[in-house]
Amino acid sequence: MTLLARGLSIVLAALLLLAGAGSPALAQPAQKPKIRVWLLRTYVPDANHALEDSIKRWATSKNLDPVIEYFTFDDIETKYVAAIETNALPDVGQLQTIGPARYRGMGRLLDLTDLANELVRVNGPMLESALPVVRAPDGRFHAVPFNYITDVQFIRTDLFRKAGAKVPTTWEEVREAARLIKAKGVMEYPLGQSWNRSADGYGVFQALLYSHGGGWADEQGNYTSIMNDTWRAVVRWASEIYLKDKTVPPDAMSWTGFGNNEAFLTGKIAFTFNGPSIYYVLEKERRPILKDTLMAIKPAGPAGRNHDVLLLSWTVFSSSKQVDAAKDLIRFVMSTDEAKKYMQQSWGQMVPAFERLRQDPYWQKNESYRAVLEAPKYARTPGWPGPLTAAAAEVVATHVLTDLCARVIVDGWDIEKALEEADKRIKDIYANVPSR
Amino acid sequence: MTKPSAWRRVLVADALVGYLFVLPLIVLVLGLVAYPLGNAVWISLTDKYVGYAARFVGLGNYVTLTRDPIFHKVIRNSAVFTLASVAVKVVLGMLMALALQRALVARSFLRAALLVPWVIPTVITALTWHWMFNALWGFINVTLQGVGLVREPIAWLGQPATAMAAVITANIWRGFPFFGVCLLAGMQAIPRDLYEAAAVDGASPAQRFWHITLPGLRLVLLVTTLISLIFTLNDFNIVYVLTRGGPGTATHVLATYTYEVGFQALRWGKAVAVSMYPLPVIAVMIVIVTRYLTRED
Amino acid sequence: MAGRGVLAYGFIGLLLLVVGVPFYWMVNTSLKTSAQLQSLTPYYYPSPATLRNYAALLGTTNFLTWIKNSALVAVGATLVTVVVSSLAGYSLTRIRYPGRRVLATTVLVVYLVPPTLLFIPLYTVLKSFDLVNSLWALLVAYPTFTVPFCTWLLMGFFRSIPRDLEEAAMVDGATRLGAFTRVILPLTTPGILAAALFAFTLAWNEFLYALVFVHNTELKTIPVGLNDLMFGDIFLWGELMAASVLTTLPVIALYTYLQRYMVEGLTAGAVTG
Repeated sequence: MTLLARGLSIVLAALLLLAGAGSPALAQPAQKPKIRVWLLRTYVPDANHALEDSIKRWATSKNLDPVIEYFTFDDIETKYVAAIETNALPDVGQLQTIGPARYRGMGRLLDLTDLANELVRVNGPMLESALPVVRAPDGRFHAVPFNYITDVQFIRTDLFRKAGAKVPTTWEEVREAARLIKAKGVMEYPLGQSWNRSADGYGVFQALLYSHGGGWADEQGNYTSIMNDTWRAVVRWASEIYLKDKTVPPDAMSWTGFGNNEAFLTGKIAFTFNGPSIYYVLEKERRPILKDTLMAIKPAGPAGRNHDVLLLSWTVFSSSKQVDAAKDLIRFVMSTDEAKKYMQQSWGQMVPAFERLRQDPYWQKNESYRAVLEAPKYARTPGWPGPLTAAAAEVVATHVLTDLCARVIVDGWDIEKALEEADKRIKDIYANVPSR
Repeated sequence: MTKPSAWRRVLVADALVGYLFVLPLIVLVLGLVAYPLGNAVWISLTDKYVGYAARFVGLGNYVTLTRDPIFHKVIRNSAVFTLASVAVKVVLGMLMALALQRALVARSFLRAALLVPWVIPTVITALTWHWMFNALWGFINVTLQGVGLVREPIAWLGQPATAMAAVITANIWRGFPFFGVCLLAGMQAIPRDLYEAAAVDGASPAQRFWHITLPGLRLVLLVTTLISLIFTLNDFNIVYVLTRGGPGTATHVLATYTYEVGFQALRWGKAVAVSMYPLPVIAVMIVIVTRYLTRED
Repeated sequence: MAGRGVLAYGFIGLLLLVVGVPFYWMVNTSLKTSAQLQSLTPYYYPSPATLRNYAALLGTTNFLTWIKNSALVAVGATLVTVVVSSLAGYSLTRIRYPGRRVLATTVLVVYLVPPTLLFIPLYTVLKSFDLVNSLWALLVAYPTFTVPFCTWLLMGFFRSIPRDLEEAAMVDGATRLGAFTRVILPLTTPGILAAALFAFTLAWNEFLYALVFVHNTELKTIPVGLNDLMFGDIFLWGELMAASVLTTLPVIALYTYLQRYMVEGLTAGAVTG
């Protein structure tokens, strides 16, 4: 029967094709030993290529075959969880801020204290704010800092000038500036701040909270109640910009990560808090509003400047069969020359943690670059003033903080009730974190 | 006429053929999935945290969930999202199938063109709708304000009710062609002479639909609806990309909650328990439909 | 007659509008640079239209490789699915043997746990067969969620066919397989095509397994590749939408062709009693 014959031959052909295409590894016999590296695919292709280049040069000199695999901001968790549970971790990997604290408790990370000390000798001391991320409370390093992606204020200086507003240096001034710009009719919704399930939400909330001296853990890292006036003031600030001042776009609460970027780039808001990515687009594509865009350090509160942190770090996984090579790779890539090469390709998006790299004139380009360089000094880790623990990481990762704001803004709860719910959630997390 | 023992031999041979036909399914699907399924059930009874060994806690996860107000919201959202989406998709798909059956010009092209929402990668669909619903520069508001129907921008994704409507809309847009194609295929299997006989008897279109089309489609409709209910209940991308479950927890559904608990809180035991929660309801539905489907004539 | 024809075409027109507006939006975006997108004027059309996004997609990313991989996996998975589920669906509805009801029920049981939770133990199973990090992993894993669904779909179609048709053929000396291929299949071609379409699109759009089971950058499928166009808060909108257009149109074209060839061509000669 011709149809059947035709069908069968298609099946056969397809399977043969697949067999040929699906097994490239069988074509070449294994030559050099492989070393697996997991990197974050950043939005700066130049920087990605520079790093890849670095790694490949190192690998060639060591006669190793580097297998580079990328993850993105969105699938980093998925890939690491899968790798942990199936014992398929790479040799070297980049981690996000809460990575070291979470994975060292699982015993997955190598002790890198020697490597850290070495890098300090070569590149100068690392910023204070990097220590709580990569160093455990017992003083051992399980990761070494790669770069910060600093969160700053983005200001449309032309619109501010038009309204007579000044660049905010305190959180109260943020509200005043927004109200002024709206009142003067310069922009209907000047401030693009969302309390959403992204770093724009939980990062800025922490900056607001810590600047007011608030926290959910004490200096030892144990849970403390959040039913106090500091928290009430903070939640009031967060909710009143929506409910009272109405200076925020009405659907901002469901923005995802790119919402405020797009709002700023399309000229629909006058200022926002974000990583330097907005500036990258403006510089790369030579946009007209570049000349009217300023990056400034985030504001201070009654307790000073205590902001959030996004620090990428390098680690070696304890399951690696090539621990020495892995450490050497990091050593090479983070050596002063290589790190500076990377920096030159980074469009100001990745801020170094080591002093010698930070002193490079690259960062003196303009006021905005200087702000980005300076900002990580004020970075505090989740769970401040206590250390960064798995419990603190979970509080942030499960969006307790932003859900708290959403209860008041979206669900119409009163602040007290919302705080009680958040308090209970935090308490539960701390009571149930694995410590085995 | 054959003797009784020969008849029995034929039946046994026939049954063997039956088993043979179903063997690939058993091996491929059940063989491959049995371990993961069993593993999942086991994990839901432990306090498994990613990276640590699991410890048995019995029904502890389920009990915690029962007391969790956010989980209650998630269940309510999921029910609303699933039932509303599927209901509209059934109706829209049915109308699409009826209309396409009648269309003779460019029929193949039309059928394929209406498939576009189903074929586009889901993440792109969700991103597109996210843009369409944006309050300040989304297609919907810009058009409404442009023609003067609306003065203030509507915060579609910023309010719980409209946000839910938005994710349901996106899900319907993506999913109705599935019903359309299946129901159309089902309609084509209904013998033409039934319609001709009814026309001769003077039946109206509505009567023909009610007494011929609908009964003829009964099984296909039942199966398609059940499958859609299951898929919609587990739909992740549309909600995640459109609202991430926000604003607040207004559109948080089972799939997004499972993701959060499993991949962000790293509490794997609890995450599996979350997704197992609707199991009794789904199992009952499956049993009922199976009974219907495998009924003797 | 004519009145109802107008109604039908009117409704189809409405549906085309509903389908078309978001699709137009995608095409519109794919023809604009990000500067144009973010300048918001003009809004409804690109001015000037540019093919830069398409060039960037084809030139700087591995888009063609993604398409090749997706096509291989989707076609393979579809063929496996159609064969397995039509045999199984036929057996479960039209042959009598003990345990068929239980089997029919358990087939759908697979869907009770979503892939997000199934993929870790499934990975372990695939690893034990040494299939991980090759397209074979996907070819084996995808039928686990396409076959149950297609089996059930085809059960619905098979069930609708009168029993006497195949009994007539079998009395005339045909085997079960013969009756199946020569009597039942031609009658259910629309259903089989529908099942094939859904198996194909499910495989074409699947993300999680493709992300986790395959590490090799040469073996990325389209959904995983699209991920490379999204970086946290920077999305390459133009290229994303260009990818969307380029992955949708071929499938639509293929389906149009198959429709005309398989359904119109074959059912024209089928006996309908």
